[in-house]
Amino acid sequence: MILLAFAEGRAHGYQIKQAVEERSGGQVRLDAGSLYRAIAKLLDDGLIQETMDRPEPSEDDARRRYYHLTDAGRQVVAAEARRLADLVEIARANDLIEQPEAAR
Amino acid sequence: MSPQPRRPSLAAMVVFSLLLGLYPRSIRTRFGAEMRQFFIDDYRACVGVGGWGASHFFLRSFWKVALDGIGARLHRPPAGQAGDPLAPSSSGGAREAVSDLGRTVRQTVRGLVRSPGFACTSVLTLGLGIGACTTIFSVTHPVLIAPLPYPEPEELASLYEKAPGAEGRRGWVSPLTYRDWVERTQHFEHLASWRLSVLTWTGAGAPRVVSGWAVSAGYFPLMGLEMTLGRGFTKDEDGPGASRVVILSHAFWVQHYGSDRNVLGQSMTLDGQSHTIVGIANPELDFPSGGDYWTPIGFDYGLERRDFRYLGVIGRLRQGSTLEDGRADLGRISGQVAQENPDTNAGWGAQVSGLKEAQVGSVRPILTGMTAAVALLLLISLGNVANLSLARSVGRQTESAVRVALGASRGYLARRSMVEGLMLSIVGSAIGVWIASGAIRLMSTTVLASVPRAEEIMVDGTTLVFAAGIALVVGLLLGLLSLAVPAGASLSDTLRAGGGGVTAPARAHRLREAVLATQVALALSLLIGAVLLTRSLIAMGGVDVGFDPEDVLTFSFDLPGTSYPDAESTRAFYRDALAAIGEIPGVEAAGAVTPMPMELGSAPSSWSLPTEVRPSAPTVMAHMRTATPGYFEAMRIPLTRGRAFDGGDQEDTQQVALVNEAFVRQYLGNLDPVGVRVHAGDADADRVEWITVVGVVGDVRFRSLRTIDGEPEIYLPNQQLPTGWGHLVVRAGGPREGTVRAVSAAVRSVDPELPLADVRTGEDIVGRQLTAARLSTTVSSVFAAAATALAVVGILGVLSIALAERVREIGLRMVLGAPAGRIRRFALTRAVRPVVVGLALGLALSLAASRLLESQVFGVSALDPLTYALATMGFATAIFLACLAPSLRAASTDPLTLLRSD
Repeated sequence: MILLAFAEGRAHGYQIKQAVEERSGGQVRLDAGSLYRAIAKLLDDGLIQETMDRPEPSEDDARRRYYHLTDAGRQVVAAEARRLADLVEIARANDLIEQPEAAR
Repeated sequence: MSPQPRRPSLAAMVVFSLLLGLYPRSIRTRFGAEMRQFFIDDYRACVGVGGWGASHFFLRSFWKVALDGIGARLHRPPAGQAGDPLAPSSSGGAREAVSDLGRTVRQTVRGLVRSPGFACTSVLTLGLGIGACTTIFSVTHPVLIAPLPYPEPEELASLYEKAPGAEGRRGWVSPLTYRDWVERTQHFEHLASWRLSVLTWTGAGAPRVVSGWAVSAGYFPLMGLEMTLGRGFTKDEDGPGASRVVILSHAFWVQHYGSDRNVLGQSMTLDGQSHTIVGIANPELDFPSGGDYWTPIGFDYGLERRDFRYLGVIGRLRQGSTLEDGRADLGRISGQVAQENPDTNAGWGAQVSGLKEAQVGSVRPILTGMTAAVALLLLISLGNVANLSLARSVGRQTESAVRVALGASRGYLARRSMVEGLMLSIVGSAIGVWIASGAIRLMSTTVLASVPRAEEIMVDGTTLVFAAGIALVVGLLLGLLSLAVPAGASLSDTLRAGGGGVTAPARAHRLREAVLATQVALALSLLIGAVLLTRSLIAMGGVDVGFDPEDVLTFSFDLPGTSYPDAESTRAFYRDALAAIGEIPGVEAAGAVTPMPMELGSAPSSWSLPTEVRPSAPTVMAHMRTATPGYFEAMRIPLTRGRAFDGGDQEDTQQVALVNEAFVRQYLGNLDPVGVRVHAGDADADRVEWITVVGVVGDVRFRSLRTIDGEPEIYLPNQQLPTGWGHLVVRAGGPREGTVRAVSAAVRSVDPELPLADVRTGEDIVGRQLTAARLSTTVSSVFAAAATALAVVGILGVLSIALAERVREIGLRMVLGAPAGRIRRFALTRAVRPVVVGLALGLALSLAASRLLESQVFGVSALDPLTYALATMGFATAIFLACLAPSLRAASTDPLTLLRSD
């Protein structure tokens, strides 16, 4: 979920929180602690890295750090997305969830 | 409602930063700054308008970050175990930590429920300590700490003229000198002047007295707040014969115009003249405090005198200039002015103080003292709970050792101590906040009414943050303290001793004694402070104020210039009104005085004596009052020499004056004052009117009860110098309400348009001087009583624990034939050492802190040996009596019971 938030490009901590909250329809609320511990782990695993590509100084704040996906991160997101997509397919095939409108 | 600030308050940031300390260093150093930024962003996103939203947000954020931080620290995943990187938002470690924490919390709650005595005592004790701290914090924060609500408040300064002489009392400013300051200053960007204005408002129901401030045109831009409606004054409006425009205070507009936005351009009759409302001030604007309106001051400099000083001056420093620059600047200008006008300004200087200091400087010592007192109280209550939980953890040592042997980690034990400490302190804090809000409500109408910026005192978000911060610190301290015990005891030793060890570990014992000694020291210094303040209050109550306040009623009045344009009409008012009041049954005497003692408006002015009377320094300073003959009778101010004023002192008879004894004492020495001539102003003035002193009256302590000697005063008869404002003073027995009604009716019969305001009794007038003293005395007595009680309880607790630990030893001694007396002594000496050390420390602490109290005590030295001795002895006796019962019990127990106790 957090990795997906980086799909649109670089982001700083609070933007990630907002993106996650938005995409989950308010289901997932991150606080500072859990967010940064997750970021720490992603950094350590080499899935994201800090970027020097910063916004215009007028919109910037020196205290913020920006992160973006590494190639490995991109692959992991893609793999995970595929895995989830497969799961969804299987669920659909077994009528566990509804078919999308278009398929009817 | 003011817009919510774009950042959380400094206090909140500090608490948040402290909480970040709970995280392991690795996370803290990498992400600390960002997490703070996250907190700020979150605040901006979440907090709307209103205090509760903010406090709710803070409590939620702090709680989360504390839990998460503890979780992160306790559950660092072992290296190499990566977890599922794709689901980091539900990071397993954190969730597990939280549920683990939940388990610990449940266990702790069960543990506390099993020992309700310990839990209740601890929570109540902490609640008392935290409540006192929170109460005083909610007073101190808005008054002393929070910045004034104006843009760049540190640039604002109050400016005064400073009279010559060692005393250098600061005083008002003459308009001419003010003009010089404005023209010559280099470090002040703007200066503005103000004076009190009291007007009668008619045309909207019953006539009423309103008071506000006449200000120069620069005042509103200088303060820098936006107007709620309309505009400030223009330069043109602030000229000779000031324009009839008025700006209303926000509160006045809300109360009397129901926040009607169409009020601009309407007119308002003040002192019989129509004024146009041109603006409504910002609700935050409260300087000088509490006015209903502002009008232009409109000097005619041609009519002003340099030695007629009556203006308040406020300045805004240029960007980059400091208060010191401002002081040097005005010092330089004052030097020039004095050189150019030696007659009026020789020796006069200027004083500059920051606006905040000028407003709250007077209460700073009291509040600082109280802050110290509540900090002591909190420490004492912390000490009590620490001792209790120390004893508890010693008692649970065996249990802990077994748990460790069965595989519980030391981390688990540590977590349990921490959680227990935090839970006690959080519940204590909640009780504390409840106590504080009650205390503030109780005090706001009474003792706090006289404190500057009192309207901002309340339990708000900042207070809650403060209480939460205290809870956290206290909780962690408690946890750490009880951790100290199991950590010190070796596991196998504890188990081998089987819980039946002869004594508790020496380390726990020493720790407890140290805590106890500290408690005794703190409680003793509070007690000494309270005794000193109480003695001051008694001394103050006994001060002879110089008049008899019983049965005296005073009414203030202000004759509008339109109805009373000249001296003749003013004289007629006094004559008719006093005659009408005199006819009221029960009235013994009635008079009038301007200004009233102990009221605003009294500043010393210069007077001159003939050179043959005072060759060296003919010019002296004295407070001038005008009074009618009945005033001295009504106040029962004694005439000690010569004659009083009488009906014969008229406009066309010899100019006469009365002086008070302080005047004689200070300026005339042994000379017979009756017949001495004085004149107003300096000795070498061109045209003087000599006034003859015809009598001497007693001193009235009019400025404050702290002035030991009265200050020199000179009274002129009202008939010879009629003044259009002042106080009516009526002495009448019988019910007060009846007299007030009758006096109002009598005045209405003379002038139906004239309102009487500010009805007070003589006791009120004296009492107001005592308010501040009462405040500090009452509060500190309460603290001292609470502290003494807490300390005694603490000592009792420690003693019974110490005895319980030595039960086997005592039993053994008894079996071996030790007499009961020796057992009693043995038990008592358990308590004696820490108490003696504590008393000594407490004395030293009080001596060191006595400077803090110096400005607060009156009629007794802050180092008064009797007070110190009494407090120490009293305290020691209380402790001794408290210890006696458990010692006796120890000595009278059946030794076999004692031996069997394990």
